[in-house]
Amino acid sequence: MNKSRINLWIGIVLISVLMLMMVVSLFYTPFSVTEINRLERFEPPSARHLLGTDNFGRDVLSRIMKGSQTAFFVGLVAVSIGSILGVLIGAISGYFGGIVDEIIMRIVDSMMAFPSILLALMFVSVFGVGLRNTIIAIGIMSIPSFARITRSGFVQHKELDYVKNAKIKGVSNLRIMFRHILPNVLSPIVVAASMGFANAVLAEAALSYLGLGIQPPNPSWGKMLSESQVFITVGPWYAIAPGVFITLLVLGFNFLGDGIRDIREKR
Amino acid sequence: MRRIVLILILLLFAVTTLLSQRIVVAVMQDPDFLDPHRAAASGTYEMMFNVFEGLLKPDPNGTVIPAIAESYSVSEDGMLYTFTLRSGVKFHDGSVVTVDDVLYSLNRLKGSNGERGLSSDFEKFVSKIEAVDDKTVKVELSTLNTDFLEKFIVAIIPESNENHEKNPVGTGPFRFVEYRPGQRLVIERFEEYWNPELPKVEEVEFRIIPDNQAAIMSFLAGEVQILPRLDAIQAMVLGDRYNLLTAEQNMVQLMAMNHAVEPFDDIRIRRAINHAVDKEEVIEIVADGYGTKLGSNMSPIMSTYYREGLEDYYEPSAEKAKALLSEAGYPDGFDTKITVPSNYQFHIDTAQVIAEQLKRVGIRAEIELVEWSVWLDRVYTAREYEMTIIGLTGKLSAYEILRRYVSDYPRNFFNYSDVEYDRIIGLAIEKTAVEEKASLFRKAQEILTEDAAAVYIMDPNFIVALAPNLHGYTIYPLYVQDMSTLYYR
Amino acid sequence: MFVYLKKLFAMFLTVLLVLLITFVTFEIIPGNPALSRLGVDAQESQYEALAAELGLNDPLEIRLSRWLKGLFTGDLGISMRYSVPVSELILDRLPVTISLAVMALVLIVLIGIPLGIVSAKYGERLPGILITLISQIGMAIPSFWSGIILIYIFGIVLRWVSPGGFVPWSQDAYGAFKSLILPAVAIALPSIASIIRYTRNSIMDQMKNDYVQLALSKGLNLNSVLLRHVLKNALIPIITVLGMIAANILGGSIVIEQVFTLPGVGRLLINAITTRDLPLVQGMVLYIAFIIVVINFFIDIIYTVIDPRIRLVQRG
Repeated sequence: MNKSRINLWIGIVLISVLMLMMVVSLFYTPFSVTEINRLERFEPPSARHLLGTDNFGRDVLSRIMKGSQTAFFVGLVAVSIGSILGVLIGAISGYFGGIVDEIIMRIVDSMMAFPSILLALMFVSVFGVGLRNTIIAIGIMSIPSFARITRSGFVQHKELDYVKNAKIKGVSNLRIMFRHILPNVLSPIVVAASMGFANAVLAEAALSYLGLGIQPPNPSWGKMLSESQVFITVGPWYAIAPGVFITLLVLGFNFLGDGIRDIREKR
Repeated sequence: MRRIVLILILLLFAVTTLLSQRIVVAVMQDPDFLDPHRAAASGTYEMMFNVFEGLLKPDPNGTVIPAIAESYSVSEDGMLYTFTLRSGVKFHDGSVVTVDDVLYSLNRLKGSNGERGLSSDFEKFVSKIEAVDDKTVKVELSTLNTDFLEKFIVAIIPESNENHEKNPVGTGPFRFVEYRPGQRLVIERFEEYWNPELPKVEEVEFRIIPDNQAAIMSFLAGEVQILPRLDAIQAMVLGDRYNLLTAEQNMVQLMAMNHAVEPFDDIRIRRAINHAVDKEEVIEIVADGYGTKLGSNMSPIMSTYYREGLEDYYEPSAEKAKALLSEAGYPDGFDTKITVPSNYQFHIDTAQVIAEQLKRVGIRAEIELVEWSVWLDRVYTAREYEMTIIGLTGKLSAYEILRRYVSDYPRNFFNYSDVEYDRIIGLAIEKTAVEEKASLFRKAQEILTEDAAAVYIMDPNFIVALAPNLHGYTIYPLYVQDMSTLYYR
Repeated sequence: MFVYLKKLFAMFLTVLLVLLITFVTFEIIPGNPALSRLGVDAQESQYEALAAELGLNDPLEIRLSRWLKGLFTGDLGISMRYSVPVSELILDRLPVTISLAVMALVLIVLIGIPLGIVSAKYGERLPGILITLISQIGMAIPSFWSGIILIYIFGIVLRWVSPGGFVPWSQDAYGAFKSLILPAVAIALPSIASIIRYTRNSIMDQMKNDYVQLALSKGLNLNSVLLRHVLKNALIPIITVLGMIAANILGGSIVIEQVFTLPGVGRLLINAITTRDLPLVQGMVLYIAFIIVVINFFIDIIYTVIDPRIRLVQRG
């Protein structure tokens, strides 16, 4: 019985393939991403254009490849922001407890009650559209879930003997929190990070779809979807390709998250 | 197979629409005010054109024709307008239009009894409005403005109406039914319209769909029968299964350069940019070739006033652009920013092409997208920008179009200032002879071009898509949708 | 009960904070409601009249005190864009979004929970794995993309339903249903997938318990054990998740209303933000918060109905 490993491996394979595509796109794309070719508009998939061309005659595959950079970048930075701040807040809240904990957790709770896309939407429209603000918005929206998970880990562990011993020895709070406890509660955070990555990709796609996310000329899968929507009758491949790639990337990180969780539960 | 599909589509359209005699038109935005004297947005006029009429109304050729007035005359010196009312014109509430209603409407614009008027122009130019008898109204100007006749297309509304905003009443071919913010504005046939032949359909719904792509989806699904403003690329999607009419816009799409900001205060830089931009390439890529190249701030539709031959004044030439840049002290170009409103894909595409073209001469232009409300605030009003791309919708009057560049005009967002230009515009509106006036306006266009006041790109020919069985669409050189002449067959 | 009040109070504070932040940011950021309403062609006189009417020229302290007064009297004010009371606008749009959410929730419960049970029953065998796999994919598909595909298939190719043609329930119930069913499906899909997973996991956790093994060893039928005993206990975490989903449907509906051009709350909100319609934005924040409080309240009630042993304190 090795089902747990299956999840992990599907995730790793999917992510590796897409990551490879991203790395390749840093150096090479079959065609220029921005160059307009009026003679090759709406070409269906062929040996020359594996995923066809769009309304400007641009190669869809090349744009998908370039768009993977945006997807990974947004996911990575947003998750970093969310996890670092979330872990910090959760750690303080869980370790110290008391009134600080109470206040932080109440705010986190009500933040979680709000639909996250809504908060991201408000943030972006208030502070302006664009790559940077999209990432910040998505990052901030993922803080509560990281804070929650970290807190519950800290609440459990602070009562354990090794923490008590460390305290008796006079080890500083900061050191106990991040040197002693954190490594022990890391695995659920990693799972959350993997899922958070998937959510960030979906959130970016949704914001870009609404026209509030990534702006041209940066290619983004969500933006491509919204641009291609109207061409679905003449170039269905163009509307289908970015959707498939978003799904694959999200799927990869969901599987990865499940895989890591499975292994942890086995132990 | 294709034919079967075509027939099926025709049948579906016929079934869904013939039964109801109802037209759904997709429009981009909500009206700003239903009260015609408070409304400013062209998106409002587009719809309410069918509900309200003035003493005069615009006709498809871009001139004005009598409407509520049966006839009019202008005095020799251009200072006095006399209107004779058409008899038996009725408001939608059934009452007959009287001189009192006309006086009330015009005074509401001009302001009376110490109250401010709702129109700056009426306030500024009109000195006296009076009734001669129960059929005749005289309007006297305080300052000569020979383009003022076009102003009388402004709506005549009943004095008895207590709330023009909630319950707009006019004399147009359609009567207002309901308006639901962000959803729809519905109008229905007015049975007692003074022209008994119009309108032909029972009801029109303007459905507010801000997103063009969603509008196209609704059109394809047969929910919407008229899509008024497609660009060529979007029209291509629809293919040949629908009626597509190409309509000239009387719009001037331009790239403004802020004359108050370095280095755009230097004419050599502005000329360099004009040489760097290849308009034909822009038209080809962005509008699929459906656009008329411009050279100054006037569309060829304004045939009387249009100055021909300016569109090639700055031929596209990287060498000339570079030479001018070196001369101005920027041999390596410079960094700048093109601010574009994010809700206009057409302008965004244009900016992308122009940015590439500027790159060829060493000017590195970053594209900054801002929300429409931010654009209006920061670029249009506060004039804090370097370059921007926008389309200025056409007016019937050349004066209205060209006075944007007059130094003290409040909406001169170019920060353009030229003594000679101001003088010529001032002179032009005092000329009563059309040819004299036209030659001055043409001179004004030349000045704009020579000064490289902006990069004048094109008058984009937008495309109207109609359901296959819908006929009688009238194209105006104005931002309006005339629903009265449409019929199903 | 005390715990519940505390939760309510925290919610209240958060909403207050959000409102304050919107007020301040709307002060700072560029964009002016009068300008954005009138557009490029406004004459000075028209702009001035509107700006005065909206009170834009009043000094900050006057506007702030007006805002505070509105806040404490519960008066949401008048929309700057539409000159209509904010509450009227929201109430006009609410039925669309609520119908959408209810239809989506019904789909989620009717499809998700049974599939979850089936998936748990078959565990590692083919039907179970298949359902798991499909639900994984379902969670990964962006809802607006499935919306686009649904419009294409059912709206444009088959012409069974029409996007963007919402008719009120009172006018034509079948028409309303027809225009809402596709968006409801698009919103429901990812949530169906996640409810399948939660149901499955929750049931499988329960199955490990001794009482289940005992019942099975007594020779009781698996199906009846599942439905009579396991499901009831497994339902509690599922309902927690449903509560979260209900809140997320509101968010999902913002995007989906855009895809299907439905006149719901989501589109109104986007509209309000882009036109800098502060009263409307604030009104909508309040409404959304109110709905979320109500949802949470109902979930708490459902908890106690399902299992009276649960006291609110436990979940503080």
